Amino acid sequence: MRLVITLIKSSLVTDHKLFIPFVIINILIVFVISATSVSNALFIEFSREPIISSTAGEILLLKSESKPVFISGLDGTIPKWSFQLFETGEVCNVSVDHNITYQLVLVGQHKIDISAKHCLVTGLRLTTRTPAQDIVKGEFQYITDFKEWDKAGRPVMVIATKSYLNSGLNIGDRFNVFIPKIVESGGEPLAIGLSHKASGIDYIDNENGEWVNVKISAIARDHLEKNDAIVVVFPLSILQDISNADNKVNRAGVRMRELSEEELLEKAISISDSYAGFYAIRATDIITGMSKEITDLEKHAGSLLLVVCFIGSLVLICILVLVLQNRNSSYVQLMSLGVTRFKLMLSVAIEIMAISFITIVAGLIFPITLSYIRSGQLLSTSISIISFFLIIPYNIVVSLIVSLVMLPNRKKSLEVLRSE
Amino acid sequence: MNSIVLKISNCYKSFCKSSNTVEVLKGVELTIKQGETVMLLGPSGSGKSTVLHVVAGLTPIDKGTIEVCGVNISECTEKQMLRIRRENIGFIFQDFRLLKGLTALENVMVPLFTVGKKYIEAESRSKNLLKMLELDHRMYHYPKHLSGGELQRLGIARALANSPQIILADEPTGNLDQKLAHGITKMLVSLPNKTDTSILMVTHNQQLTQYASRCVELVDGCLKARESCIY
Repeated sequence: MRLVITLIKSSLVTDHKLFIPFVIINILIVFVISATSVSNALFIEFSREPIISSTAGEILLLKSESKPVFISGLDGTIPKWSFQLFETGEVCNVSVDHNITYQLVLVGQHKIDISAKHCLVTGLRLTTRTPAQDIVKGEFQYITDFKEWDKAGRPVMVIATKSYLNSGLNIGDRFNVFIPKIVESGGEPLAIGLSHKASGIDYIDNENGEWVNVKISAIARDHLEKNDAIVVVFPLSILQDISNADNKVNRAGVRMRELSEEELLEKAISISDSYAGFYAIRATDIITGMSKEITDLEKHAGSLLLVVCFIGSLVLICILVLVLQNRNSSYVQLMSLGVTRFKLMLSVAIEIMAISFITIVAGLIFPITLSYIRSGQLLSTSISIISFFLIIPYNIVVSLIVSLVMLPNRKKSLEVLRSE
Repeated sequence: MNSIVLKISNCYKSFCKSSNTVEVLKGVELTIKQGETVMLLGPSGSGKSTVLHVVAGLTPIDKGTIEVCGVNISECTEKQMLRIRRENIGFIFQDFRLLKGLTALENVMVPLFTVGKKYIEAESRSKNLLKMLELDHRMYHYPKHLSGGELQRLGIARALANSPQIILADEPTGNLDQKLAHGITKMLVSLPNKTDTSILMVTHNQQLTQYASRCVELVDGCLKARESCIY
């Protein structure tokens, strides 16, 4: 062992500069993968999981000409059926034992006079079972009478992305929002927003409507961070009043906390099968659907990381070949002193093991620190920290294979000495 | 009567480069007895270094036999050869070929580690050798801080570390001036216990032949004895 230690010392003193690219590449690989993994874990822990858990146990009832699907467009991912309104009373037989959260979501060409790129208007009827919003400032003043609402200064809740919240929205700020009118088709076939013509449904008339001056009473965070949109939340009856929706809504959320997610799915399928024109879907499925782009991105990021690893591994092999080529004459000299090829390979492997370990730790320091600062704990990342140390056996195997090929043999030794 | 340390019989070695085959050794015969100092002369490219490499087992021969301390190395496995190299052969190179990342002391200790010597034992033996070769003040210096003469003395110390039966010296004074060349060669041939160690030394320097027991010349792939070694 003393011989191997001496050989390693000799190699490191002589070749430490040659190892700089090896060290940098190892650190970069670990850093890129761990930083990506930690970012992903932070997104899951602080954005996706809270919103999924807040909607867990909820079934959304929707009216649609066909099975609900999601469509992706310039405005992000939106539910295709959202404008098909129904009377609140229509779903009562489904929800006898439950509080129902009715929602009117107006997806259209909304206008807003603050610097929002996109705007979604929604009316919400609060119940004891309404999923809690992540309110970061103020309080949602839920006033159902228009006159009282008007007297209170027309309070609304604003749900925005973190970047939006940081851009200066404050409680008490006033702005104007354009509310389109809900119009009955009167039996005329329509193709607005639908893939096929439908008749007898309500639609959003963006040409007609009114500007409503409102005041921010609560600011909540949109955990999905899916785009730079802003959601303006009205008390349901107020929005129904302004938009001519009367008693109609396009969503009814039924909380069934006592059911597991599997039972909830069965229940949703059962409701969908039992009521013509109504479809039930788990609220969590909508969240999953809305974060589909992020999930896809995660998959692409995984492929990209594999490519990074592969390229990194090729570069490492090239560096090792160069290092060993550079040491060829030293190795012949050592062999002339009676040092075995095995001892030389062992010294290379130990060198690589030590360097790999140090570089992995160096590469992990920043993402781990970031994880601690942001969450106060080491996040359970999709790629666990321990898996990075698999780079060590990989590098050792590569170094052994490269050494086996590169170390001079009896046939080559004379040529090596002559070529010096 | 002195025993035979090295016996080369009818040794052939050729090198193939693309379609050309160059025959370097064509039936080399050489016997060296214990304590003898044999100088190997010959023009450049005649194959002098090849003789040393085949004796050290660093290059296999095509035909013939080479016996080092009674063992036919052409029939040895790599493992047996390594053992012979560690215990019986010391190698000195023209360009010193010391490990740049190790101190003078550590360079001498490396061959001792190959035979399993413990650190303290290896350190003590190495220090004695360095003292003997007047390098004790340079013990902890790296090769880059040593002069040419000091480097070659360090190379000699390393070759002597395991008290080899034979030292193979490949133009050890080739990079040194005349005065140093004489000093180093004189030191090499007059080492304590020299009666136990044989030397096969390749040189171009005719003046150094005065220190040899006998001289041989490699001409056209064959070794011929030189009648007089004195220049």
